Amino acid sequence: MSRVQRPLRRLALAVGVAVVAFTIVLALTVRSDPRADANRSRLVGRPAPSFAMTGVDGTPIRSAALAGRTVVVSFWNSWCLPCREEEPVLRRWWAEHRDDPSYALVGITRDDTDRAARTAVRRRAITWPVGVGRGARQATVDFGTRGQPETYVIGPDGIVAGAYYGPLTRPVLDRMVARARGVG
Amino acid sequence: MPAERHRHRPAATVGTWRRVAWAAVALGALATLALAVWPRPEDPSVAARTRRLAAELRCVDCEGLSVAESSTPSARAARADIAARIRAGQTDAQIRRAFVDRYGETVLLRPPSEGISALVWALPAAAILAGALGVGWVLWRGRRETRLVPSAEDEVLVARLRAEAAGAAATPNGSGPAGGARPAGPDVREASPR
Repeated sequence: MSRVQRPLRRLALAVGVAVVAFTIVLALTVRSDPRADANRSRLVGRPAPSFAMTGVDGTPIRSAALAGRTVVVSFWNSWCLPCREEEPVLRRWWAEHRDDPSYALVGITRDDTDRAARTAVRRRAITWPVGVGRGARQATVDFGTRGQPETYVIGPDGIVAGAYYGPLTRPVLDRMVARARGVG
Repeated sequence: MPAERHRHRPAATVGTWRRVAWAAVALGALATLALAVWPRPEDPSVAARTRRLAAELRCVDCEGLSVAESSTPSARAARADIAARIRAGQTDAQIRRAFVDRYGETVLLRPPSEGISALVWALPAAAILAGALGVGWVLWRGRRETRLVPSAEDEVLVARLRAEAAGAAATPNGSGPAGGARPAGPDVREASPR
């Protein structure tokens, strides 16, 4: 090997080692799926953010008043088609649990005008409390929402037991509620 | 001729000036990099801090926009949250941490420069530095390898040929080395070591 080729080989080796090290770092940083971090809530297993907002009917909705209950929090919008898709699931669940004081369901508009939300609630005969206004927008940030619909289930201990992105199904809702109540 | 002698500088001087020029280029590049990354004095107002921090955070329901650039209600809510936290006395790091706690590291438009993530910044810089050093070293070695250094034998040979050429020019029928017969002996160029 000539005197010029030897350093070139050393240089190539050094570059190769650097590339391998960089690949390992990237792999450790992003793990298997770069989007995985964007598809799971950081809130699960942690205390739920407190919220305070005005309902579409003007009554206040406060998390403090719901302490000790299993609370289903549904982020939605009047214009959101997947939200319409999951509405029957919430409607049925609410019909079954609304008379049980250990349960609560709260809808929070995520990206909507208050007027559109009020109109949708009236026309679709939504009977669970729906929060609007500045408090609702703050809750969308505090819960770290990324879109709509998104559903969170908070246990009686105030810990977020489950989070779901996308149109909810009954088995998913039942599983999160059971986990929140310590029976899942 | 004197004029030609003035045009051709000695090799040592040319080499020095070349080194000075390269050093100046390297210094200029380093100074530009330093200026680019040097922290600028920050506007301490709430609006300016909100704008700056919002520009570092990804709008979660937009494509490729920061919280500062987006006009969606969630981005507006995020800006209001940042401003409220600034008014509450939180530091920039605490505000960034609050958003990372909710959304994960992906909410940051720039990867954090601490822990293992710091390697994302450090490795490319180290690779560029290593590459520049390697290229410089190879060039330096190449120049050293190809430089022709006359040996004592070469000097003797050149002196002898010059003497022969001068002798040939002094003879009445001679027309100088260019026009005369080629002197016997090895070619000077071939005799020089490579």
